[in-house]
Amino acid sequence: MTEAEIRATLTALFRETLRAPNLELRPEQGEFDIPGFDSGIKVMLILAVEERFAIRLRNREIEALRRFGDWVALVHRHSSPAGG
Amino acid sequence: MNDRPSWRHRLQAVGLPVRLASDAIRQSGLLDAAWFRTQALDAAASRESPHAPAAALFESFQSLGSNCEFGLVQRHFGCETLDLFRFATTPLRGLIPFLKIEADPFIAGDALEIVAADWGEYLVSLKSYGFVFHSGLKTDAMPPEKVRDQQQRRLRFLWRKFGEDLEEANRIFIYKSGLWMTQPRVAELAALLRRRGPNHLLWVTPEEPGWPAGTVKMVSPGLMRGTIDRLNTDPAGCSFDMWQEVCRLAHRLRSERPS
Repeated sequence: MTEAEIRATLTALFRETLRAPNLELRPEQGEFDIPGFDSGIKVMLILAVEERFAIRLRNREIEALRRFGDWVALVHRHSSPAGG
Repeated sequence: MNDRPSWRHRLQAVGLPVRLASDAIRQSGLLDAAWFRTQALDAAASRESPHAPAAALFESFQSLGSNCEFGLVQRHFGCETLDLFRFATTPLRGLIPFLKIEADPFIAGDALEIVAADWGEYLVSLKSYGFVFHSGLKTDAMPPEKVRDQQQRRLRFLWRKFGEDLEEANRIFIYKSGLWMTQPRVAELAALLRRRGPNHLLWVTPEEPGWPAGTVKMVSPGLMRGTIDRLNTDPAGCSFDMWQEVCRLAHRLRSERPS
């Protein structure tokens, strides 16, 4: 999966979870700057990401998620052959 | 005119228990609407808090519940952690046996009871341990039949994360109580935390003679006691500055005496 495909899939998951069909996300955007984002939404997003990409995120990885670009990079790492 | 069926009718229609948070719960202040009222501030608090530099300090602490006060303190300082008990009522009589189990307590279908609180929020009760968790879900925001599944997934994830936190032993766990709680009982809790890793527990109580507010001492290996001027679950009444001072001292004390 390319980074662009991951970004598109993640955007769709964020839109669905936040019920914001027109949401636009930039890599540098802080997650708590996203309208409607809160700690409860973050849990639901993590669950959706784990299910959609068939990955399991560790505490350290979750705690490092601060910006939308971090989410993309994390999934990309897991998706690459040497990923986690 | 609003002709939507009330949450009460919708819950009854799908056979979920319909119950208000008991007067005893509300009057005790253990779990009330304060958290729910401030939920909308979640993102805003993190983004706009003038105390953001303190967020890193508060991220190194994890509430074991008791009630929601410490979760609200974290929010005040712009800290949003994903912790199992951050917004939960957890009596010590349930927490001690809970820490002894290894199997996922949320996996059984009938483990959770969904309760509609009279302030318009679904609460989730883990009956066998006497725990009550905020869901953050308004009773008119989601069909009640979906609440159980969603909350079960959420709590199972947070349980998994809690286990990792215990094994990593990077964060300081916090439990607060009134002065009626005895140190041996809290020491039992601290010992259980240390079965999984070299964890530290910060036990926070109101001040008393010999323990003025703002005091933090290591009272036994892995157990610190700290005192603040008042305990409160209403954001308007939380002793934010004192919580910050106690956490700062505890963080330093653990650094000086790490295990």
